[in-house]
Amino acid sequence: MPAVQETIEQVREIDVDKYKYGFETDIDMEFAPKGLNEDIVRFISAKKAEPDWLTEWRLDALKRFETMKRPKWARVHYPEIDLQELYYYAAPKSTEGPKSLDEVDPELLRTYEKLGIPLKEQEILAGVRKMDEPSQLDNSLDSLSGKVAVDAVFDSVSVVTTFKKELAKHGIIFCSISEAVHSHPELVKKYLGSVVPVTDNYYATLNSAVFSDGSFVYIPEGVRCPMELSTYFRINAENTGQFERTLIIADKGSYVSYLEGCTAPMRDENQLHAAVVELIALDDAEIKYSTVQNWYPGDAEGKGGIYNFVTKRGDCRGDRSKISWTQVETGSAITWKYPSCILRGDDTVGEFYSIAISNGRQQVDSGTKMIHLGKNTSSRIIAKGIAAGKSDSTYRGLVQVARNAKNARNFTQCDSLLIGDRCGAHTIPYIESKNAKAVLEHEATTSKISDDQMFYCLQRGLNEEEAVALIVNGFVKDVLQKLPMEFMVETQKLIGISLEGSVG
Amino acid sequence: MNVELKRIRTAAETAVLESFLEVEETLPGNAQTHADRRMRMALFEREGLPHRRIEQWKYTDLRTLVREIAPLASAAGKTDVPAPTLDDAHQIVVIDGFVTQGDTGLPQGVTLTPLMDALADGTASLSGAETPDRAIDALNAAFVRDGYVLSIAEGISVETPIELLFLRSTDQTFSHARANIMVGEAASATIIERHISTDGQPTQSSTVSSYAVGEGANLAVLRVQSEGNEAIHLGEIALDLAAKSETRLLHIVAGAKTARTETRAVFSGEGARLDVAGVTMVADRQHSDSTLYVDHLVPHCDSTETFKAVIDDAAKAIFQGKIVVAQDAQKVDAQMAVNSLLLSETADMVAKPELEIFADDVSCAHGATCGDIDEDLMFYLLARGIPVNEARKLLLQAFLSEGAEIFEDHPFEQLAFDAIETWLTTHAER
Repeated sequence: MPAVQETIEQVREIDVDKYKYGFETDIDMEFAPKGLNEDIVRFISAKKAEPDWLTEWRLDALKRFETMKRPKWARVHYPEIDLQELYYYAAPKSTEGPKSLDEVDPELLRTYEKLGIPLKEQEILAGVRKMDEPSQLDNSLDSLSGKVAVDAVFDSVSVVTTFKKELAKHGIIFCSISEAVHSHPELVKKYLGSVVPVTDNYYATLNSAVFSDGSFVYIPEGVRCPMELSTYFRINAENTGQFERTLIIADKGSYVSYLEGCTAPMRDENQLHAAVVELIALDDAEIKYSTVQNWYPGDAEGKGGIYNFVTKRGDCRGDRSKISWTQVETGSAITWKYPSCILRGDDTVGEFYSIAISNGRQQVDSGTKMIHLGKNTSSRIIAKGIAAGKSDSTYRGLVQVARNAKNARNFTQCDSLLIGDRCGAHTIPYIESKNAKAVLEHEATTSKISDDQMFYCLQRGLNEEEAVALIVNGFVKDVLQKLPMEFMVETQKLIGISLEGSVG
Repeated sequence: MNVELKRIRTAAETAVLESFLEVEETLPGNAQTHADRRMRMALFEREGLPHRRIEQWKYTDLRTLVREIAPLASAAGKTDVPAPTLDDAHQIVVIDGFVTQGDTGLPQGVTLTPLMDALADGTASLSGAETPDRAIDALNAAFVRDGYVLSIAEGISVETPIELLFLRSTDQTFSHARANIMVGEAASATIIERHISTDGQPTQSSTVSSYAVGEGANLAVLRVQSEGNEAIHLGEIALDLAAKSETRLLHIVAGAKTARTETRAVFSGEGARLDVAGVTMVADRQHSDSTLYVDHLVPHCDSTETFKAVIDDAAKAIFQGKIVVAQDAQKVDAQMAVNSLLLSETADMVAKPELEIFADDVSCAHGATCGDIDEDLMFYLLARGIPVNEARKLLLQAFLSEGAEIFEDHPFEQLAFDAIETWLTTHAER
């Protein structure tokens, strides 16, 4: 069991500070004035030289937002956030607009290297010296598979997107959303807000008003994206809210696998992250969206950490399309997200695989929504929650079958594992069926690592830490297997780190 | 979605507030009781009828389901008292919220005190939580005029079943009744709760029956709700379970146009056990909500919750169950299952089986299923020459009867089978 061994070693290495991404990058930043008002929205829009329709769209959202109240139904507790005390726009001064790698501030590249994402190296290894120069791989596009194209988002802006040219050869558009607004306005206009409407919820509306950047992906008809696409989000500046917006469109018969990673510096204050992700799958298309969320979770006493309030929704708009969400949630002081699938087309498939690990004083209220509208739609939910320390972990999931969704099928399994007696694990499923031909199944369990399991491992010579790591890795195996290869090993390690100090 | 709505008081809410002002002075109880009533009404004035934005009432929006409030019942109306379901049962009869018979000839060791007296001397109280989700209890506490305290003395094993009848006359009133049942230490009792009204009568009622099960006591309760097709039924069953007590409760729902019954069980002593089951059979445009809370506050308690529902026509059945295991309640075993069958294209089902767990050394699980009658099972029976209607009935019977399993070899098992049979037969004949 090399992964388990590695987990143990990694945990040992990290002595005091468990969160290894907690450093801060010292870089010249440009901020918009603090506060939320019409001027700020206009400022952000002007900064990105957006067309009038988008400025109006943002202002509409702001107007709507001002009439809304903070939702309180989730099982998370946090003080009121003073939205007027936040910066809504923060960008490294050196990067205005997307550029080639060579022009990117070396400080930024170093940051991503430290995070384990060597943007430049990756390109050079792949034979792409400069974005403008012809790549050696031009004639052998097949060898691109197994590589990952990265869109790196630093606070409010996308600093660089790699492999753009190579992807363009397949007709794939992969760029920051602010760039897409200019280069592909028709696509943005058509799909933006079509899955998560402006008025969807408090944080989504706020995002619609002030979103700064994010990724845009368009996979043309019949194209199977040759490599994994990924976005790496980094919050760096203080008192800044991060509001990114991701829009992924998979046209008829296409396929794309998309990864998302997030980290932030360690600070005593809480920072707000309110993103919106919209996925659209047309006929026969498939989108696989994986997230490894590792925002700074705050210290053991619950000081600091990211408030992660995210709206993620996929729309299986075309028949026979498929959207699959896989998430590993280890970070954030508070997680409040429900990646959902609207199964609109007939014969569509929605999947949700989740591992949520909470330690310290973290609070997680996460789950999914599967909304069956079309005929013969099926969905599958596997959620594994692990709570340790003084944390609270809640699974909240909705399975809804509309009147016309004949032969809809759902299977839900959510298991919770409690480590220690000061934590809580909760399961709140909502099952609503309006069709007699729909078959829905739900099962949930809550338990701790049993003495029998521990005894079995210990008497075979494993120590307590190793035994827990082994059992936990086994507990989440169903979900781990759904992760792309690159993330799997990383995640296994992450699980070990997140649970450090919770044993014994 | 989160846009703040300005609350406009509905006609029904205004009617409730007005009738409270009218009758408050005349309601029984000491100063504390009156203060409690006013407190409950103050909450109602603020919150109104529960609506879908209150999480616990998400699927039963009383603001839209109850458009009009019937006048308050001021005396028992006329209605026939049905024969007891078990021949030798002692009946305590409440008509339109007023006790009309049952105080004489009680089995040995059983005493009946009118609620009025208990409220006057402080042995019964109308206080309660000031939260908007406790609407049934609050409404009942504000208006209740009559009811009783039924006590079963320590160590007494009551052989005679006691039948608590709650009848509504044809007066078309809003009636409120409250029954406190105290089962003494090491005592045992068998209780049938029946709620009956006639078809076509738009009666409205709230009933709170609260059972305090003493240490080592044994209680079996069968609650049958077979109200008429125009009735609005609001019920609460409170269970306080002391150490080493054993309680079984089966709730059969076959009637009412709109019904919501909340079962609130609290484990207050170690080593207690609770088995709750529900059988819901609804058709036409019926709306039936069964909400269950089980609070495991202490260690070493076990509970099982089994709910079965058959939903036909344009009916809607809701099951909400919440098992809470407190931080110190280790070694708890709780298993909840909810199974529903939808028989028509227009039927609705909602299930929300919740687990809220703060202790680590527990074993808690829940399962939920929803679907149509299994085609393979149908085929099996049809292939053996059983006609389609009969096959269907057999399968439904088998499905629903599982709810009665907690009363295996108990006289209640047969009563449950009969109730299921009756519903299936009348339902098939329509």
